[in-house]
Amino acid sequence: MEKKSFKGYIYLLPSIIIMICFTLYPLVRAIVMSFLGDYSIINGSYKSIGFDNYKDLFKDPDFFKSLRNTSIYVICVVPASICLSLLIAVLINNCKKFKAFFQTVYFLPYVTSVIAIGIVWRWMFNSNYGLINYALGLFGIEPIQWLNRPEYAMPALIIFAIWKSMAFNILIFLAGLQTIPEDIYRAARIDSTPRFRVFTRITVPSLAPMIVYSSVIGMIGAFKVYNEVFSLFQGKAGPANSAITIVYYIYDKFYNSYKYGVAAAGSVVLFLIILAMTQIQLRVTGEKKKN
Amino acid sequence: MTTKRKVINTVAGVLKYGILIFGAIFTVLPFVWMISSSLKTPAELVAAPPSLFPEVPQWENYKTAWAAAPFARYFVNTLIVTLCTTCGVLVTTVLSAFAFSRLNFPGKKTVFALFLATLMIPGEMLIITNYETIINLKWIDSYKAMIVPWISSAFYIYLLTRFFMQVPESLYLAAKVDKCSDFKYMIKIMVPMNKQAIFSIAILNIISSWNAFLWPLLVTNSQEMRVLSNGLVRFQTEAGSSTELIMAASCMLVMPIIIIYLFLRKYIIEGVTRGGLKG
Amino acid sequence: MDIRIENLTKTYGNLNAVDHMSLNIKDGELVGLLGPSGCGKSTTLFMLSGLTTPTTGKIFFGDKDVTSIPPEDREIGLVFQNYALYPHMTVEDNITFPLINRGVKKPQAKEMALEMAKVVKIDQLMNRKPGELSGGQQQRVAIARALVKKPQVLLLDEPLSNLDAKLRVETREEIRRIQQEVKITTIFVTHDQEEAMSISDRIAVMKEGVLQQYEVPQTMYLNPANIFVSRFLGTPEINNIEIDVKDGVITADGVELRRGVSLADGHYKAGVRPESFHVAEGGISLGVEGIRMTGRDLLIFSKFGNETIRVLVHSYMQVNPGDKVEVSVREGHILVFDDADKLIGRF
Repeated sequence: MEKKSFKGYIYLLPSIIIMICFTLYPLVRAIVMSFLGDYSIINGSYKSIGFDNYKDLFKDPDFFKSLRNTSIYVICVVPASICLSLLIAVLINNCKKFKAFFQTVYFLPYVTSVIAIGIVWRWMFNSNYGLINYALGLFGIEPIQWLNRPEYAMPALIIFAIWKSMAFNILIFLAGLQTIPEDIYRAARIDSTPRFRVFTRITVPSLAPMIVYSSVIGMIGAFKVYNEVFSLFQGKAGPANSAITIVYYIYDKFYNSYKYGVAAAGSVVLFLIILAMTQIQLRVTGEKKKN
Repeated sequence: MTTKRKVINTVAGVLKYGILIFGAIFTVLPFVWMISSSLKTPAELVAAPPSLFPEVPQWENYKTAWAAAPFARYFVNTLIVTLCTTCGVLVTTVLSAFAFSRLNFPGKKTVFALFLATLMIPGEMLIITNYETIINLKWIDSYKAMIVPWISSAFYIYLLTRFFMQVPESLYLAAKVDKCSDFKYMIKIMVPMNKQAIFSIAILNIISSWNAFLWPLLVTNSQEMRVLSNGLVRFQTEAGSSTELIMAASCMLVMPIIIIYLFLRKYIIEGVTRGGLKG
Repeated sequence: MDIRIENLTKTYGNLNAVDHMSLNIKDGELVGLLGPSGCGKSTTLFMLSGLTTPTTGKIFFGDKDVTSIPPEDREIGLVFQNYALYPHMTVEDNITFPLINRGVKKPQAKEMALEMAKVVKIDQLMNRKPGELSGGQQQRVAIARALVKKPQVLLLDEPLSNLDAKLRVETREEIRRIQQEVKITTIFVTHDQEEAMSISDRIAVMKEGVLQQYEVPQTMYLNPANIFVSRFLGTPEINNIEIDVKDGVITADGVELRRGVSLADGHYKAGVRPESFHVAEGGISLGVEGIRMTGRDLLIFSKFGNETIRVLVHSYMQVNPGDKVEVSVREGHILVFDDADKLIGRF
């Protein structure tokens, strides 16, 4: 118990090997690669060392478009998903019957392959035969070219993403709601607090840590969006690259254009963004612990 | 006064269930639509107004889709990769979590912090260089390329360490007095006591392995090595406008996980919640 | 198995959790380690078990120095405060666990487990899981698990603290019975003086890592080595008063308590137990400030000098607050301590 021995490392060995080979080494390697001009992963050759890749990156209008799209995506998906999830979670929590049923239903998207269900959404967004345009037609709205017109590509992607991301948030909020003591609600009832006030003054503040957590996790996830784009636009980034995201940009540079250095530089930028988000999360949860 | 309250309560109740049911329909609609489309005839697919259910379910769509591409092979590949990855994850996770929660070794805190720090690295960033590693190892188009990089997860290690830490230390001391070695203690006491948590981790990993898309796409070239999600995307391109077949193929990818989910819901929800509330 | 502890010290940082402790325990004795929390009694027990390594000092089991022998090879049975039963195993599996670890074959292990279960009277519960047992039953399982490997020494850490009051009395008698039946040298840790006195052959009282007194319970109660021990043993607590001695007469607060004692003149600290008073005409007159009925006795609170003192009288005595009672102290029941709080005599 008191004696330290290196025996612990025998238990850790498999994890450490995997971590070094497939997490730490590639991290360092990606940073190094981002400074190698015209790098080729086939034979390891490169033409220059320096900031060429970063210069290329920041000269590329597509990269800025990907940054812009990703930001729009984050700003639309995360708050919308959080608000809707909060509403649904509170309503589910208030249900006496069917609680388990609703919980099961609403969590379904979380376990589903994005690729497969994205294909289904693609079919539902179909401008001629899609279910969505049909439903809109019932309200007299003209068919929308969801997947074929650049201006509708992002909205389609965002609708799909909100559908997909709500499951996790609802689950976290439901778990959080269950930790609020019933007595607080009883007290509020005796004080004849209106329902809406109970929601804004008791429920939401009690859930604040979960809301912050879900927001940060949601933002980190949203910055890394890729599979949703790939499946909704059948491997493309929407018409005329209108729905290109950072990760899509990186993979495109890497897998289709063979610009490994530029892809690595893009991934370093992504890493820095994620790191900043994580710092915010740590700061916020740290505050919570202090209080 | 009381009638007014009654009315408010009724309206609130109707509104509550109304929203919940509407949301539930919105949530399950893609699944329903997928299944229904997969059983329709091409004419029914493009009919206006669209019907919710096909007049005669076209079960042969599945047969046609199954035969149109080597889905059986994809299925086996996915199963192999999923099971091997999950077994690997369980072994490394249990070993590491035990080391972090019970054993005392120099640099323990540093190593644990390092494991946690890796959670901040976006996997998307590592894919490029890991791809290079796989090429250098000449592992392209092999099962191990799809399995080995994923058999250890800092997140699951963190999760299980927290479960293991809840086991009172006196149990460990008691086992020690009872002449029980560390390894035996791990196998006989820690693992059975936390079997639910370990089971949750296993299911979560099965789901993520099954749904994995980009990595298997990158490291495989040949049709024989493809997994379901890659095969589905390829089939989508090949089948072109045969939407009913594409939907049937999508069902084949989605349904096994949904069935697992419906049966083992408790463990999945428990695992995600525990992992989610780590803050 | 005799146990000899020599100069045992355990230091954490600059704190001596156990400070140069020496103790001899005879074969087959039941010894209670008694003291307030943080006094080092549990640390001592864990050093005896081998789970904690002493900073200095030695432990002998018989003639064998076991100080550096790991717990699993010390032939000890250890019962934890929270019992530390393996929750996913049945009672039988819990009891056979140490045997199978030691290479005993399964059928034989089961037989030994059943035998031990009969001793602690849980043989009806062999197929239950710990979660389905009451606290007292869990305690018995833990004892059975500790004893089944036929250890030379049994160690119990606060064995009764997780039980409710009634079960405590019952279980401590059980521990005594089992200990007598198995005839095993047993050491248990407790902070409850009544528990320690009722079943121990000897008690070791500790304070801040230092052994205060090691004695047979009755002797220790009558002759506490110092004020700390006198206060720690007995409820209600002993009354501490200040006395003056002049020409062989003990007075307190101007009242004469005893004549003809052979003590040097001076000022002393003294202790008088609440039950050392008896009602006597012409004794010390005490004003009754409050009464508490405890059942067998009636506890009277009274002002004596600046102190509130406690006096036990028979419960059938009729007194009310405001009354006066006249009492005197039984012969030999005034404990007199010196400046270093050490007992120097009973008068």
